[in-house]
Amino acid sequence: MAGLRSLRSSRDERGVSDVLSLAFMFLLVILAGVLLHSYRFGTISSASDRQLQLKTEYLYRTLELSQVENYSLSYLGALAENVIGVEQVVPGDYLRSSLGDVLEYFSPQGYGVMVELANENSSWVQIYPDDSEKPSFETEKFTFSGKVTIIIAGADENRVAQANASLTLFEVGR
Amino acid sequence: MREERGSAALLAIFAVFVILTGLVALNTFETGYTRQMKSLQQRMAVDTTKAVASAVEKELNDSLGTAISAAMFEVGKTAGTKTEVEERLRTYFNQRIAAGWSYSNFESIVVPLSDENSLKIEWLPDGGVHAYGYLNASFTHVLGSRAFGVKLEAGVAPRYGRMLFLANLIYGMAQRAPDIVAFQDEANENFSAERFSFSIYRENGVLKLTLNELYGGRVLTAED
Repeated sequence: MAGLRSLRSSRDERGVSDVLSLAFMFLLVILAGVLLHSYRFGTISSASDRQLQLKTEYLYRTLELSQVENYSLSYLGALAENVIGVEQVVPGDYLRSSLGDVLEYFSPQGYGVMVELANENSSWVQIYPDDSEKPSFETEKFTFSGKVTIIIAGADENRVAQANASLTLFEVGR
Repeated sequence: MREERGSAALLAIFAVFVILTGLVALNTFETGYTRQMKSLQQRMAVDTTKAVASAVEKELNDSLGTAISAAMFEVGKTAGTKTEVEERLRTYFNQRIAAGWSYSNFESIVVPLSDENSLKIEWLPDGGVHAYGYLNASFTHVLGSRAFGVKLEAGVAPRYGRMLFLANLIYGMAQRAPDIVAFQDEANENFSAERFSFSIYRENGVLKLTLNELYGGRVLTAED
């Protein structure tokens, strides 16, 4: 008992520096933990970005391959015909409605999709959800772009007509 | 008092130890993080390269399809030969390739012009065309990832060979027919199963014939 008492009393005597040591240790551990987490989150964020970029590319591919119902023409092909101004197989109103359904079905939760096609002075812009506006510069967004080409029969010049197409995935509701 | 000095020394040693360990840990984390980030960026570059190569391939194949249609339409107006169709479609297709591509983050996209070896054109038994081949293209991302090759494959609905044969046949027969309207009706009836539609008429004393293939349309319609 005497030994224990003396130990306790000696501890009591150097209590301040002990507490300081413990406080510093605690602080350092917390800082190290925060640092570690910040690194981990950075990587997770990049991996998430990669998935969203992939999704954007798949969405673009889907519009390249899938055909408008009742027409043997892809969505991008039909949009290009409308934008370039050649004889349109798919009426514009029907195409807009049909494309809206496709975007609604494929867009990930919490994200909007914008499809843009442009050829000289003509363009087609469609955004899902309908009430969304074009994503601002600060909005996190992922874009994939390409071209749609139509070779126009009987054209004297500009036989090879091209429309620049781009698909943008952006966050909504933030 | 000795005990207190001892604690201060302990704290100092501990602090140095923690700082050293922290630096090592920081360096390790940073190296690992940088490696992971580079790996992810590289993977994104690979994904993008593959996606761009795939998009260019799809676009080229669609262009080839429209080139075939345009060539058939233009040559068909004067009942031109199959060789003329082939020549025109090759020219139009190469015009598209010559227009080139521009993608941000890509060092170069090189697609060589097509020729008889890289783009084969087959006339099918039903008179349609099947074009296929391979272009030795290369896609180089700024981060170094590369993709090679574009597979070509396109076919279009109009059976040009069959249409050309029938147009010449019916035109020859129409020249000898006493009643063109009756002959047109007969021709339409005979070839309705093949979904061909003839229009035979005289314009400024010259006999003209227009042949349409209803299967060649791009709109599905309900059968009556």
